[in-house]
Amino acid sequence: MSWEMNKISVGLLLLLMCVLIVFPMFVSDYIATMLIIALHYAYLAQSWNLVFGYCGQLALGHSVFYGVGGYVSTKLLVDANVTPYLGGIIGASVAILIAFPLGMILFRSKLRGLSLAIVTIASAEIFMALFNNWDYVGGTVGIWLPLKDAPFHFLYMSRLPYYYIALFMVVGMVVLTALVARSKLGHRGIAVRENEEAAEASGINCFGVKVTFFVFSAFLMAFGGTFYSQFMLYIVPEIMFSIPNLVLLPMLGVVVGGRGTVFGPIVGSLLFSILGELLRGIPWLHGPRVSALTMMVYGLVLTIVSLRYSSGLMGFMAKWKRQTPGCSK
Amino acid sequence: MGMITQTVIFQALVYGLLNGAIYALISFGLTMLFGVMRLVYFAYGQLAVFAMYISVFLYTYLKVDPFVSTILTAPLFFIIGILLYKIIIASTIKIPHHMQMMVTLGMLIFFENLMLFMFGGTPMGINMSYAASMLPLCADIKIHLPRFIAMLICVFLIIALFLLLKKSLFGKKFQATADNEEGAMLAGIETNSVFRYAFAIACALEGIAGSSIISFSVVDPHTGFPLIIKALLIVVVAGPGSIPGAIVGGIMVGIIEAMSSVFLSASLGTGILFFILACVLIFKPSGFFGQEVD
Amino acid sequence: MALEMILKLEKVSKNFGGIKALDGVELSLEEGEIVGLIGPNGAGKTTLFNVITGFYKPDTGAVFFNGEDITSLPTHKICRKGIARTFQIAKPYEEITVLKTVTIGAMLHSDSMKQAAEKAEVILSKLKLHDKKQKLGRSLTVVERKRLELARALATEPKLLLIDEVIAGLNPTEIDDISEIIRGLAKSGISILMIEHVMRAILSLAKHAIVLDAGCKIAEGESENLLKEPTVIEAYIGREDSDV
Repeated sequence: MSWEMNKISVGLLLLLMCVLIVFPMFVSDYIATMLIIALHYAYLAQSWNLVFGYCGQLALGHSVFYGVGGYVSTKLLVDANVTPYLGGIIGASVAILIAFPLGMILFRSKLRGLSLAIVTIASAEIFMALFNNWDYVGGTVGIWLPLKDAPFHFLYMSRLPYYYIALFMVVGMVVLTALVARSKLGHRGIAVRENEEAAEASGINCFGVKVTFFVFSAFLMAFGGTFYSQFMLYIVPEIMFSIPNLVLLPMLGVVVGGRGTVFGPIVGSLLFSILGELLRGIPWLHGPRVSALTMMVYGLVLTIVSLRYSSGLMGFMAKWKRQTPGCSK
Repeated sequence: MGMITQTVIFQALVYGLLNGAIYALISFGLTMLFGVMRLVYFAYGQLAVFAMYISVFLYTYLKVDPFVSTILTAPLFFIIGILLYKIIIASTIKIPHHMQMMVTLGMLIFFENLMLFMFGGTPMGINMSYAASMLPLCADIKIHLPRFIAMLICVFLIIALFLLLKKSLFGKKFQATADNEEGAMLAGIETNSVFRYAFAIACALEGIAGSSIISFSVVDPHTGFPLIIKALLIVVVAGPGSIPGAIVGGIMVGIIEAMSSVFLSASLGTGILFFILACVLIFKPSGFFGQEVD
Repeated sequence: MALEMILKLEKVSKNFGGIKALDGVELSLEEGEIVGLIGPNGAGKTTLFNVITGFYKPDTGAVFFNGEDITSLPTHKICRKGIARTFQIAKPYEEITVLKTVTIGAMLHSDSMKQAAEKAEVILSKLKLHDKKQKLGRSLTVVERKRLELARALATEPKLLLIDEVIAGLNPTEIDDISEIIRGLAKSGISILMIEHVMRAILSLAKHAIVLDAGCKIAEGESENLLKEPTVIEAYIGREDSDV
């Protein structure tokens, strides 16, 4: 029975992939943009899912690495005509160079839970302040990227290429997350998340595991920053290091979708993207009020889900699966 | 940038003290909540912002002085606090800290955007007749009158609260519960009631703080976020649950912030403040006077 | 003689802000022995475990494992060397299954997850938890949690096992079950140091015992005789926490 279930799910997945690849060729720019942004947030949620979902660390300052990635690749492009495909890798490497010592300091100390959350938030604010006052990166004015067709330099007039790259990033994260979940590292992370003392007593180097996940997430966030720069063509510290957009929103997706699961963050953030679009469709709402209303709903959902359904949608489904007779386990 | 004279420095010091009083009050409320019911309350400050809006409207349409409006906002927010406690907070205290953060972050997002929805994003402010009045202190140093009054109110409240917690029956129950919740319960103290009133008091504090702050500042829906981040940092660095720590911390933050703004730009000043606080936390994770956070 | 000592503590002291949790404790354990660690509440028994496993660093003194000084090693390295412990308050990994919990422990000395899972299955059978292997940590009963604690510790293939009050709260049948398991472990070569309040268990399992009171070792010797010693009895009087 489970083999048949697997065949069906694989088939469905392939069908889904075909739809995802073909369908956007026929949609308007507006919808394409919407899809790209939705995929982008899904990617951010998946990245954060590694450090929070699989390792349990409340690192709320990962916008630092998003911003660093974006700024490095953008500066390299604008000043030295370096293709962001390379620039992104360099940006991600710089992110690692920052994340590694930062992570080591953070986790060497006894910072836990709230203190960790606060210090990581502070680090994001520090970087924002730094970049806001740094003329070399444009300070509060920001940097503009050229609007033109330059495929080698990750610049396209059409939305489609951005869509495929965003899709590729999400699919890549699915694969990556699945690999991590099956690996020893993934299991060590979960142990640290659940009970650090017991994990340590079982021979797991909790410090090393936490730093690893921290740096890993940072690396991935940096790519997100590069993508954003190339898509939106304008970067400024207020956006690139913004906690509400880059940390809280993905966090929503992770918590509601189910942390520590492969598909949870995607489901969670897609849910919110759809919700946002639905609300935008209401005729008598317009302007900033729509996004405010959307966020209100987000906040409400986050509150309720955290209070009652802490294992998120995926957890809810898993529970339901376990209680349904006949399902293989 | 101009000469940084002694006067400028002293002026900044005074300015920092005035701000510090407000930070101290907010941190007091926050650490109170953490100390007695181990609540990590990210949405603290949102009600203060709401109070700011209420005071704006009361002044604009009814010419009610913001400081006078505290007579309305304080009891109103006390009641709101009781309601909020019943609806959300009572259940929130029972869940682990990291989920508490999620819940209260959700509340933060909700309230901030509720205000954005209702009032729009443009900053609002009021201009009372004495809004620009300066009170001379000594030499060349002047104090902005509304700020001064706000500071007086904050100091008064801090002292009043301190006395409340030390002398009153409620205060004794509060202390007992904060020290040892189980022990307090066994001694017959209704801890749930202590929590409820502590929370309501904290909300009332927000109301008063907000109404006071609007006298010299403008408000927009996002005003709450930097406030709570600073307050949280202060509380955690001073040691969660430590009231003297929160007060001292608040004042120091006010001063550091003001000083950094003199020697550098304002945003860089904030960055430096966060850096200092973060460093302190890294070396002393449980804060100076606090109990364990997690 | 020294070569046979799997565990040796030399003058271990630990202060906590003025309170002497451990004061010059010395003990040694031979390979394959089961030794009891008894004493009234607050005597420092769990603190001793914490020092041995590296959760605390002693202020003075040293801990030797198989002749090697492990005093300054981090906990996970000590586990790697072959010391495992159970926790008095068994806090299982709530969101994951029993099988996965033990597999994680077995990962330490396995090349692949598959191998770790196989080893875990064996351990679960040994501890009679096999039929519960898909249960989530948070849905386990107290008895099951205690067995899981043991299983988790065993998964790391220890040569020395520190058991912290695994008997308390069990009914006589369950006590006999676990005792049987513990005896089996010792027979397979694992040395055991066990903290216990239930004297019946100490008497049946540990020939040898050490008594701690207020951080000091006040007696040591054959379990049967220890319980008759006046100093030991005095240490327990007034504290209703053991079934002597």
